[in-house]
Amino acid sequence: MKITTWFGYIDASTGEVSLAGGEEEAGGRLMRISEETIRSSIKASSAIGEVWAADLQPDLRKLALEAGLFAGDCEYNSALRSTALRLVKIQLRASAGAEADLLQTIEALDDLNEVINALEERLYEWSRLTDDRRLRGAALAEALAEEEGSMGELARSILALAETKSSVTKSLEAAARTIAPNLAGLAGPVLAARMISRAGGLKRLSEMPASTIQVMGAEKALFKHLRGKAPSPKHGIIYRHPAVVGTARGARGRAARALAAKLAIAARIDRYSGETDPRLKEALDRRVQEIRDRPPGRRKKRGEGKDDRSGRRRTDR
Amino acid sequence: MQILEDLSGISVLDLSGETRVATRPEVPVPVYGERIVEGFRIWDPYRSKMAALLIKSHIAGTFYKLVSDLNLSPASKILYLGAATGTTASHFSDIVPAGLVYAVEFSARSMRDLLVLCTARDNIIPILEDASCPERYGPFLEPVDLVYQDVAQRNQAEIAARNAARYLKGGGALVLMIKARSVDVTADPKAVYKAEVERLAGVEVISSADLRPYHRDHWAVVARKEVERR
Repeated sequence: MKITTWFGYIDASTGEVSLAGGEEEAGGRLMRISEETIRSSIKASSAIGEVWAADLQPDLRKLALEAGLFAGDCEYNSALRSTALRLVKIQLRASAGAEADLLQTIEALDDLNEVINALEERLYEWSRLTDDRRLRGAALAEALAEEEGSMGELARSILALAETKSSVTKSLEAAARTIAPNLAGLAGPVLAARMISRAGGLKRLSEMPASTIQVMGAEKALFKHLRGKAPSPKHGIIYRHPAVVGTARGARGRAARALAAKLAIAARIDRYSGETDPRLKEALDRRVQEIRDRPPGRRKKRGEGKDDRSGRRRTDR
Repeated sequence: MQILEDLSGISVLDLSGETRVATRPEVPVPVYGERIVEGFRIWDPYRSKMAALLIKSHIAGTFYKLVSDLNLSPASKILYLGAATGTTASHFSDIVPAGLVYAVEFSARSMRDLLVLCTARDNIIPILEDASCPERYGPFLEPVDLVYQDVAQRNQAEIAARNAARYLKGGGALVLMIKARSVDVTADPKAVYKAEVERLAGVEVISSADLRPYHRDHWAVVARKEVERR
């Protein structure tokens, strides 16, 4: 049986040691080793898995030196060091994927929003000193962009930031569509990106139950509810989705539940197959329409209706 | 500057009235913005739990016992679990100039910083793996003289015990920094610490200390693995 090590293979039965691959191959080979060990630690079925899952650690240094692979401790150390450095660099490059980029992009977008709002408010207060036009926000910045002095400077900065924001939004939308086409199609790219960011990655989002997705972002209300002090929240960040805000108050909980269920499915398709499935959107639209068409009074038949009314209180956002 | 105590490459200095631990690197260059005094790198107890443990042991008069329990020599091999950005790891690297520090860290973000240190030093082996799966970094390791663990995980003691069982030589030492708040935020930290020590299987606890005032709700445990009888 072969044991894979950083310098090559050890035959566990004969104790024979062999140096595998050329120097330039070492990086790729080690990547495979680490993948193999990762896989085997999950399955523990492959040959490598059995050996490495055993509790005893073979003295790799001793084995390698005895086999004459290295001239001495120093050579062993420096070879080990350079291979480990190379492997870590490869692993880091692999981990800094498109998803990490998406998370940073959405954070950047949120920061931009905040900064632009703060500056626009400042500009408004400032402009009230001399200006009597009742303008606000981007319109005010545009009107003052030609001004001289610090105030005009500020207005121009706001416009430049707004431009940055729109280009960041654009790249965010493109990134969300490539990483999670179904989720982006169903939730809209920005909300999809926000959900992935909240969950800490598409993998974790795909492992979440729909009920968690439904109240994601309403944690404060949820924990208040769990402590028994409030009705349960009906929706978190998915509130912004037209299927939820576009539905009458009384049916929003139901719409949020239906939406969350479909989003959970979409996230799983994106994680495991990545193919766009148009049926998902159709099914959601149908269900949302059904909820909206349903007369609101019907639900009371099921129970005393007390929960329904308390649920109407706005517990989140 | 006056050297108060000095053993296995770890020194306790008196810097005009202030007591500081320090290590002496081959090239005295600061790693994380620490002070350099006459070739010594001052080891910050507020940033490194090991430094806090050493200072506290000096005050308690057990510095020599503690350091000799660690049984370090310039050629020692150290397995460092949870190396983060390498603040403490850099001092261990000073202590074992002819040995190796196997630095295991699972966070890619921290590893990026650690990598800078690993390139500057020739005795730190970076490993991007999860310390709770010891078999994953088996292909790189050899039996080591010291296992040092500082990971903020719920099952800290279990991780330490499994790594010590696999990688620690008989007679080798384990230094475990227990962060009680990571195990259970709601429970009494002291009770958490005691329960974690109970979970340390396969090693014999020699000493333990809390790290106040440098780190709140942290305890350091020094343990030794029994020499295997076969």
